[in-house]
Amino acid sequence: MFDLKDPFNVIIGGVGGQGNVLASRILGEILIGQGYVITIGETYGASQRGGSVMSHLRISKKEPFSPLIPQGQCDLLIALEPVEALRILAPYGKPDVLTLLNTRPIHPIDVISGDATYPEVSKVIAKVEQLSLRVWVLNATEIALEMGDPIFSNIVMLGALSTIQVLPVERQAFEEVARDLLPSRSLMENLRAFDRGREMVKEIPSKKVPLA
Amino acid sequence: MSHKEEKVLLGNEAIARGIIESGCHFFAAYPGTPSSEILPAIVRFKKENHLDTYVEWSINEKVAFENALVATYTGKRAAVAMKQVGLNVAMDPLMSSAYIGTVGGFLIVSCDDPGPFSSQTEQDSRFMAMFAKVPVFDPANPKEAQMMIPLAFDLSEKYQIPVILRPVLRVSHAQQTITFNPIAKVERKAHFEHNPQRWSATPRFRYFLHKQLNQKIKNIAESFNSMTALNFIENDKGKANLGIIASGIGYSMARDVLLELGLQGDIPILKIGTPYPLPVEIVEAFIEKCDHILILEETEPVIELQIRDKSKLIGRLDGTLPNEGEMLPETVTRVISDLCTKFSIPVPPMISTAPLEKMVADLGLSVRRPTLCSGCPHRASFYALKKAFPNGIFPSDIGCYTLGMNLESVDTCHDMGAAVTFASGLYQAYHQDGKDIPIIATIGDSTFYHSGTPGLLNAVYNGSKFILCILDNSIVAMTGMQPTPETGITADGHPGKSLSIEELVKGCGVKYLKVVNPYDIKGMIRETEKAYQYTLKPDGGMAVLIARYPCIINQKDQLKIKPIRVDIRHTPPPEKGLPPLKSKEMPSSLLPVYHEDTCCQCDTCVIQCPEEAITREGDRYIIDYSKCTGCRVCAQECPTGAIEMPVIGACIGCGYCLKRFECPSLVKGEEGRVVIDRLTCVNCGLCLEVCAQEAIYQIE
Repeated sequence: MFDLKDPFNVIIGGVGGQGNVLASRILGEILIGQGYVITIGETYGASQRGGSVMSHLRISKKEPFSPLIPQGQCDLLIALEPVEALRILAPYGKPDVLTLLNTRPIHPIDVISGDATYPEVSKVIAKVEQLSLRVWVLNATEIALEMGDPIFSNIVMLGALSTIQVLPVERQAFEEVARDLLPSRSLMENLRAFDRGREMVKEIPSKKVPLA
Repeated sequence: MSHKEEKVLLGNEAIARGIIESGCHFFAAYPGTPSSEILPAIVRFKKENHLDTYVEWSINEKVAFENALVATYTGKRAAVAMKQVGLNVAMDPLMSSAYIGTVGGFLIVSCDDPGPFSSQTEQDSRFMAMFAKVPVFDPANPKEAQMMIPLAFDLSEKYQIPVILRPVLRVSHAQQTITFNPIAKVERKAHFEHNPQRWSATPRFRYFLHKQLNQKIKNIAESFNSMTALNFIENDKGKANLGIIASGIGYSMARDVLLELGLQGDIPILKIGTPYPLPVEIVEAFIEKCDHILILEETEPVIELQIRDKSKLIGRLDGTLPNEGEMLPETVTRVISDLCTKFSIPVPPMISTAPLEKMVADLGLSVRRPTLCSGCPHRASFYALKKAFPNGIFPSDIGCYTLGMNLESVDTCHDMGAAVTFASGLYQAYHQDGKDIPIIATIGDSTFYHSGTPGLLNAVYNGSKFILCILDNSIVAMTGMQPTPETGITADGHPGKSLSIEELVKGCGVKYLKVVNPYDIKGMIRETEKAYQYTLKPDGGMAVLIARYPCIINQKDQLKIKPIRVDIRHTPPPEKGLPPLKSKEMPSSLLPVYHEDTCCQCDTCVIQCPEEAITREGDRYIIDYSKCTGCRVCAQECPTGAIEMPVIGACIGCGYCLKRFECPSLVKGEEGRVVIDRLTCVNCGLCLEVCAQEAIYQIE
């Protein structure tokens, strides 16, 4: 049985088009099925065309919370993109934050056009390790691409989440919610994406730097 | 079993649920973030429950408002939804509707966007309510929004007055567990009672209506004092050192922050659900009991300004809370924490995230600005327009295509429809000086239906001459793929009448109209030039181009059937080897050479050079080789072949495509040479037209 801090604050962060909003909704429905009270806040708008997006999930056994997680209060970060992980961990992180990370970068348009540079991915991951108590990684985009469409990355990430023993997410519960929220013709593929995430995620040792 | 259905709903869906549960008969809306999800949810609940609710996507907010308002004259319940700047468009009928009132209940949902995230302004719709003198409800969360709506309808019917519900983005776009209540059966057959004195009141009678309205508002304020579901005190404890008056999202944050700081028993909160008219009695009684009052409301000091004695107040007027931007939980935490320290209320120290932010600062994370999708037809249109007239003025409008500013093809974006009126005004301002310059306005199809035609009628009538390019992707893409009148599909999916943009344009008196395919970039450049020639003719006038190609999000599957796969050559044939990147190091044989004898002095090269490397000196042109990147656009565009430059046939890293085409699938790779990102490329083949060095080629 999971004994969650109350409220338990989850941020799902990524880039517009990665399926942030759908991932937060599926996770929310799964947790409601477990008897939790959920509030989700989204930050999007003009950002949906390639901008940074963030979903805040506040999970409680008792009551609904306001939709925004205050800075320094994130318990679990699910990052669909490495630089977005850092962008969120800095203001929202805290000493015992946990991070589940998709290691495949998406370059911002200014990097694409050469006006800015994307930091080395290994350096980004090293920073994530320094900022988090525990870190799990996988290349969810690559896995989704192998399946034929990067659109499945968010579901691969949810599959990974179901094995790291941080939140009560079971395959059975995912299947039920997926039947409700996802198009029926892609149900089998989504289940396979979920399973691939379960297989491929691995924990990397944290290099947590104690804060002065 | 009487188990009530529960679901996670988006705030906007909870609002739709509340509207349906109130037995609303008539619903109209125009899409706009953060309000767009209300109507689709109304349609869903309507279908699931086999209701006969009338639902429409209206042409614009004013039309939606008036359509719904008059339905209430027949006794029916009606609601209308829009974003906050949409209410500006509907302000005219709103003002008058407060005086004349309603018969059936009338709810106006106006979604505010503090931040702003997706709007021109951060305006507070509660001020609009106050200005028009209609009551406004300010929900703190989706659940409360759902609960408030039946109360709002009842209030509206009791006092025969329109009522506004004002959710902020954090309510509209929050998701919460919502319990479904039974759907009220409100039987109303349309019955319009003839009463010209009221429905078409003359100014003299409006005075009496105003007097009536003032009395209504006074009575409503009094009734709000006793509506404890909306206005109540939490942690009431008699005297308090510090108290909070909070409305809407401010209340949600105040509760969280007090809990987090362990102060929930120490600081009372007066929760205000109806900021206008303010329930003065309970507000003043609460202020009386506290030594200091913090006011938390989004976005403007609407409650604060209504309180007469401001001596105890802390809020926006004294600058404690910022007067712009969204109110954030960390700001509220800091303000409450500081006040507690000041008033000797024990409070735990705040944890700073500054050390964490310092840790990532050295990586220099670049901002992710939004961009048009790979394969977007608007990109092709903008590229063609800019290529046709690099020194034109480009007024544009509101939609995805505002992002054309990245391609230097959007100069202005003001409010819905302003592309047309701005272009017209610009034409007249220049024409007054005897100067005619290329002015190319761009407007989306839905924006054109919304408020493009009045500007076009006006331009034709007053003799303005410019190019209006209607970017017709046959959908409202920005706000989530709503249908436009052109599709002929109505809000609930029934076939309606398909409207033709061509007929509409002709009906505005425009004589020059061409439909172009933006995927044919060359053709579009040609048509743009021809259109401009028409505007210059003594008997010419307005020229309208319709650039028609479906939104790529709907067209991706089509491209999968007929993909145009491209690649970029990096090594030129046969054995030349890679040319050096910057032209400074480039062999002189590969640089542009100017021949005075064949030059016709048309300035095309000066205008087309993206690096401003070519200048005119008297009768000839000078190429500054320190600025030249070797893109070869000058040689390609020169009409007389006066600029000579060999085609390398491989990417030399000049950056022209990155700057002027900005496709997310064209990526700067090693040594600045451009590569294709296969992850995002949709095989549209548009970039084939872009590279003058002919490095981009089609693979069989």
